[in-house]
Amino acid sequence: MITLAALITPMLIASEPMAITIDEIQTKYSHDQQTVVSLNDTPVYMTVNGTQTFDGGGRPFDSDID
Amino acid sequence: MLLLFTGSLDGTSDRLIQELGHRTFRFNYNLCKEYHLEFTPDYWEISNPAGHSINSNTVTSAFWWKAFNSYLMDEEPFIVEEAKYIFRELYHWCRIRGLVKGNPPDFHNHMGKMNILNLAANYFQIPQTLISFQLAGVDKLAGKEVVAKSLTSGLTTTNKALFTTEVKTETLHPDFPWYLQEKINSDADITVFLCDDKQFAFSRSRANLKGLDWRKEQDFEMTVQEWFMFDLTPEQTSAIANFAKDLKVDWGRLDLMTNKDYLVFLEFNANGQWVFLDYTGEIGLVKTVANYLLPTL
Repeated sequence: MITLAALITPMLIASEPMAITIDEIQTKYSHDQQTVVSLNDTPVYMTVNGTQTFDGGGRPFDSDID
Repeated sequence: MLLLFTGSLDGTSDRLIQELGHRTFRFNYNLCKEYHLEFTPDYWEISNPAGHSINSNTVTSAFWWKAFNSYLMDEEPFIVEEAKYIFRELYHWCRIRGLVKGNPPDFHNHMGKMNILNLAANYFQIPQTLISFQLAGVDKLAGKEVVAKSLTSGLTTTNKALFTTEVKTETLHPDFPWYLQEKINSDADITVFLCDDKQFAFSRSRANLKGLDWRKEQDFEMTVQEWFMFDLTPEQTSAIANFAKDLKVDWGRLDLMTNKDYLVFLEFNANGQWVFLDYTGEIGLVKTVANYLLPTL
């Protein structure tokens, strides 16, 4: 019998975190602008789609495949 | 003013804020400690560290967008549950007064996949579908190609997801709860985004799909357009409108497939993602949604 574990796909929802990690792009949420702002020149890539992102410590930051 | 219940890293919320500006107050669950909140039986007020505020007199609409998808980092479970309770209570304060737009975050706790399929059968073809304990009823899928799906879209403790997976029913373990469906062979995935009385239909070719589930093969870099808008027939538009009316929704995303000239209904996502359908903004979905959430006077 094939167990549930064997049927679960080996890939995570996103095969890897979004292209740039939080620490690398040095983002900060701005309560004044009410959006995330980048503190350096690197553009900010945010979750707009079904994906899972991770914080700098590798912990899941959100979970949404819908 | 719109009260937006969300998380600070949500890109969809960023886009809505870019459109709505300070006509929206963004209440981020994962940053809840940074806000000042006063909430009494008669009154509430929230302010953020920059001095923006909203209260029970100034709120005119409310929208829950993936607030609990973000985590309260490094907080013990009791604190997490207390914070969640407060967010839900504030949301329901707005709901009781008829201010909420979209669907509540727990919509599918009260109207899940099977009940929605039952309703959808009035308007669309639906695949043969089974939820089973101990594989009861699986004989009804005999002779069909079958896929297993997740009911919850949840993750395992090892952060794995069950995407649509073709299975042989005789190999399934009876001790697990199974959500099984007749496999639909289709040239394209169809998704229809509902926003107020508008329907935005998109098609994604399955020609280059390696597996069965497009969610597993998304281009997160958004370098290649995957979804293409198309016009529904009047009959399809009417079917979708009547389905939405029966379900009492004006927001969400229907997932379908095509079977020759027919739409085959797969599921309805009450709080499904939608920005990916118009990442470049050409169609104007963000503007449409912004106007739905907070109509321009």
